[in-house]
Amino acid sequence: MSKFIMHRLIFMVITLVVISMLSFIIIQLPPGDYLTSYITQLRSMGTDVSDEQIDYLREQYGLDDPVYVQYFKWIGNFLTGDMGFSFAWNRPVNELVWERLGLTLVISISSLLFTWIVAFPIGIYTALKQNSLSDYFFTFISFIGVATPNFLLALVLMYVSFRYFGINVGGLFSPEYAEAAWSLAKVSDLLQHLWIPVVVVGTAGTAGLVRIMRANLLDELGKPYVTTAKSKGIPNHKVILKYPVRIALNPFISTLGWQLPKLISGSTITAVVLSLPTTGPLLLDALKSQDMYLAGSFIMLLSVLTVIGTFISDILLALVDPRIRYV
Amino acid sequence: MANNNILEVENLNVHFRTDEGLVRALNGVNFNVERGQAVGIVGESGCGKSVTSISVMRLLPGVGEIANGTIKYYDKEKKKHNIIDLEADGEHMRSIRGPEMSMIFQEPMTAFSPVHTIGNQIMEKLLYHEDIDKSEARRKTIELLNKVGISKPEQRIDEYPFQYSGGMRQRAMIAMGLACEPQLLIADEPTTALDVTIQAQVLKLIKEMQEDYNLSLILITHDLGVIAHMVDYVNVMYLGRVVESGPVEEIFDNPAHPYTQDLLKSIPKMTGNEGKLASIEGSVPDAYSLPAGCPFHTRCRKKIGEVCESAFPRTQEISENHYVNCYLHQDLGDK
Amino acid sequence: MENNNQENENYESELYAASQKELIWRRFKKHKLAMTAGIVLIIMYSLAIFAPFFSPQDPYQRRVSYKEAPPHELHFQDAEGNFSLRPMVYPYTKEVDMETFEDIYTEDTANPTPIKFFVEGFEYEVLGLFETDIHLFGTGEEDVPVFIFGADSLGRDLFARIIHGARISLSIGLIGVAVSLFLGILIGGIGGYFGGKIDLFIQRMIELVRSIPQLPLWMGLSAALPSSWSAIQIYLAITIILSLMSWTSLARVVRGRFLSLREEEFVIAARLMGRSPLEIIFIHMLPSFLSHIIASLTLAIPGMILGETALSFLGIGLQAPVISWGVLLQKAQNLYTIANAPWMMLPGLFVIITVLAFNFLGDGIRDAADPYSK
Repeated sequence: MSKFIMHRLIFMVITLVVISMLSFIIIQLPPGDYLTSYITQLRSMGTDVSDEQIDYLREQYGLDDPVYVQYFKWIGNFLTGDMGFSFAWNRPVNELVWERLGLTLVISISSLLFTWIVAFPIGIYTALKQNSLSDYFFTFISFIGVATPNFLLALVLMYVSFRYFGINVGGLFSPEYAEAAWSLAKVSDLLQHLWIPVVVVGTAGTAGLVRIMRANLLDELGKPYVTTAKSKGIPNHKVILKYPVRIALNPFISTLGWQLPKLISGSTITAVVLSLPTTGPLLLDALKSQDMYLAGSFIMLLSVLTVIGTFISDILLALVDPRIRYV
Repeated sequence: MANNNILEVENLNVHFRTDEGLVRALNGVNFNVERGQAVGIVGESGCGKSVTSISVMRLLPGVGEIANGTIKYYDKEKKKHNIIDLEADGEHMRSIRGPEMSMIFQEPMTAFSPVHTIGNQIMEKLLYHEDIDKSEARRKTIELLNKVGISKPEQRIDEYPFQYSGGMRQRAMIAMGLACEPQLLIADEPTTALDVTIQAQVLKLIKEMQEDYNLSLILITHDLGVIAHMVDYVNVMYLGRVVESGPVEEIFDNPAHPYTQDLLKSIPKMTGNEGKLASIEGSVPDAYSLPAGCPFHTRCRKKIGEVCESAFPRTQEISENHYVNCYLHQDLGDK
Repeated sequence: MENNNQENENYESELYAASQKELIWRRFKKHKLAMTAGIVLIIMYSLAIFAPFFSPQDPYQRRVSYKEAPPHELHFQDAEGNFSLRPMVYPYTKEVDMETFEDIYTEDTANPTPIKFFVEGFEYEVLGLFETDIHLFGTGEEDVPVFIFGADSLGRDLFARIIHGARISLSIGLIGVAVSLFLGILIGGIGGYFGGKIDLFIQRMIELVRSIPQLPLWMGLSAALPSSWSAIQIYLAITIILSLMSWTSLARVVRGRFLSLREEEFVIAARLMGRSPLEIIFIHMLPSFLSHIIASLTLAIPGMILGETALSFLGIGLQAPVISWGVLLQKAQNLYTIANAPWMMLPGLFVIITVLAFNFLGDGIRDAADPYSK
């Protein structure tokens, strides 16, 4: 087991190094260096930027150094929590990111829970009632769920709630709470707004998981060990929960790691449509305005989450599946 | 004769509904098992041997249904249970399946759940049916593993199926079958998936256990060689029917049905140079469209004529306890 | 009995004669949903290929008096109640609500305009071969357009724009899948064929690519595309970006199949006969799981289509004046538009139908190719 964990750890580090290079390449991709374009932009707007300031900034980001030195400076700073400076926001990137990461995580984790709570029972139910009317119904719904892009669902929900209920479902807070300090009232206001993004972000995942769960369980239900368990005189429902469901769950656990980051990145588009104060719109703005430190650091951060998530789920899977643990 | 039977199967008909049509897997199977007796069921694959056993256990999959017939089981107190009338997953049936009759399956690898320890899977049966706590169940399980010849059972009990060898898995399967001390053990091709060297060991173990626990045994196999040493009484099945049955010596010495005769000729003998090994002509007919009359008439070397295609021959006792369904042994005049 | 045997033999030889392809096709035909999906896709692709023919109006033509005009209703009965088999539309008259400044369109029932078929309209080229101006349907009158799906904020025909957008949205999936197919077969095939250390390395590489969060990377890469690039360059670049991530699942399928096939007798025989690895991979191994690859491909296309739609929707993929479903949906981003002109979400319906159809088709092919996989 410890050997297994060591292997995964080493792999995780390699992955992170590769991803950091990719993120850095993305930062470097736009033509010219962003500082120059930023300064031109500032000057055109009439803001005075002194040569001293420019030199200071050039120095800080090592823009005159060779590319690999710049990379090491950037990644070194990243590791110490300094993700660079957003020229567009005129603020350090980490301030901007942490501010919004909290709410992003709230939405993503709620969506994950929603996905599981809904997908799990429906998956089991449809597998047990294979080829029944309700199986066809749920299968059809989940097919549509998989095929519908998140943002389209968000649009439809927005349209329906505006058209028929007269409410604007955008945002995570009512206007009076948006800037207010955290309080119980603000939390309850958040909860009232939360369900729409949670449903929107969770639907595609739910639909996908229903199909996976159903297929896995159908596979497992036909296996001889189910008959063996039944031959012991154990009631069917106990047998099904203890054996095939348990084994059909393995893929759920193994995907847990990247479900969360996937939800984080998946919520990006939904967040733009519903104008949520999460990381998604921030990333999009950063990319559009070529605020590359913000964008690059952000991609790096999401990747770190993904890789750590994958690592955790590998270990979880080894814990529940002895065949992996003992190899 | 006082009824000393533990199991009586009469006119058992089992159908499977598939996309391609109705499969008549069993078409009136009759056989009895006496208390403490070892009974063999032999036949080619697809003849309905396994279906018979899972019907007795009421473990037929969803597409299978018992269309007709009776299965009577007499429990430890000799009380009669009409297995067919019970709900497959009901409490009554479950009090029989497991504690009264249990089963050993063909593939010991896939018949155990890969993610639960062997001990867990055996203890589950004890804990469910007996009023004992976990440590007691564990003690009993170790005892059982020891009994079936697994070394270091205290350690092996916490291992997973993939850590066992094929033969050990089948031993563990036997231990699981013996848990709760059932009266009737059904072994469905228990050695087919094992190496030849291991096969003999496992068979010997089953025989020992049968004697130690005074079990009734149903041994299902396609291998007549296995049958000879293991059972007292043999039922030969062909296409969902028992075509011949009798004491094991009778079947080997005086096979009456052409099918049994052919089966026996196809076993290799150790006596040396006998030339080519015989095989049965043709192949088993399609189960979707069974031939009318005697099902074997399409391959039979001794076919009499149209009579064989008319109806299934009646059961004829040709010597004590030796029954056969074949027109060769019937006085055709009385028909 | 003789007869019976004879029949049996005939039956068997007939089964033998049916090739693998025929068997797959037979099983596929039984799959009603997949057949329907296949027909839907054929219709979709025909609409895309012959988009100008099916468009009653030029997708780029703006009509100021038809800004956000709702879809035209087709009438079979005129204002007097006379029934006619030929459908007709009423032209719109526009008024401005002086309080809300919204445009209100009312049908001018006095001037029913019949829909004509194979009517003359704007000129276009068919497959780059010849020019024509025949369209499937239209009013035939320049100033009376027919908007069966309504008009956008610049008064352009949404139906024409959707089927023209299908050209991009539907082809991006195919090209992207072709690129990932190439990468997947090459990399997965090498891993599965050679096994051992090479396989281990490739497996790790696949894992690595899979652990990179897809959407942010897509967004990062497509946002970094130079704005000076032409529409076609951007299109190709986006396709490549999309396939950069999706080859991995294909490579996995190929690898798994290769690993199991490697031990099969016919492959060993080919190796003993001294065939080169590439020959063995492409001549002996590939055909034996071609249907699997086709199924995986079909199931990979929707991801590409959704990817393009998402990127363009966010404004970092394809940009107007290029028409794609994502670009069209970009217009439906704000509540104001969708509340006033909900038909602007129609391109989304096409996305859903296409993605569903590909999923059903892929499932059908997979089931037909491997009846035991269920």
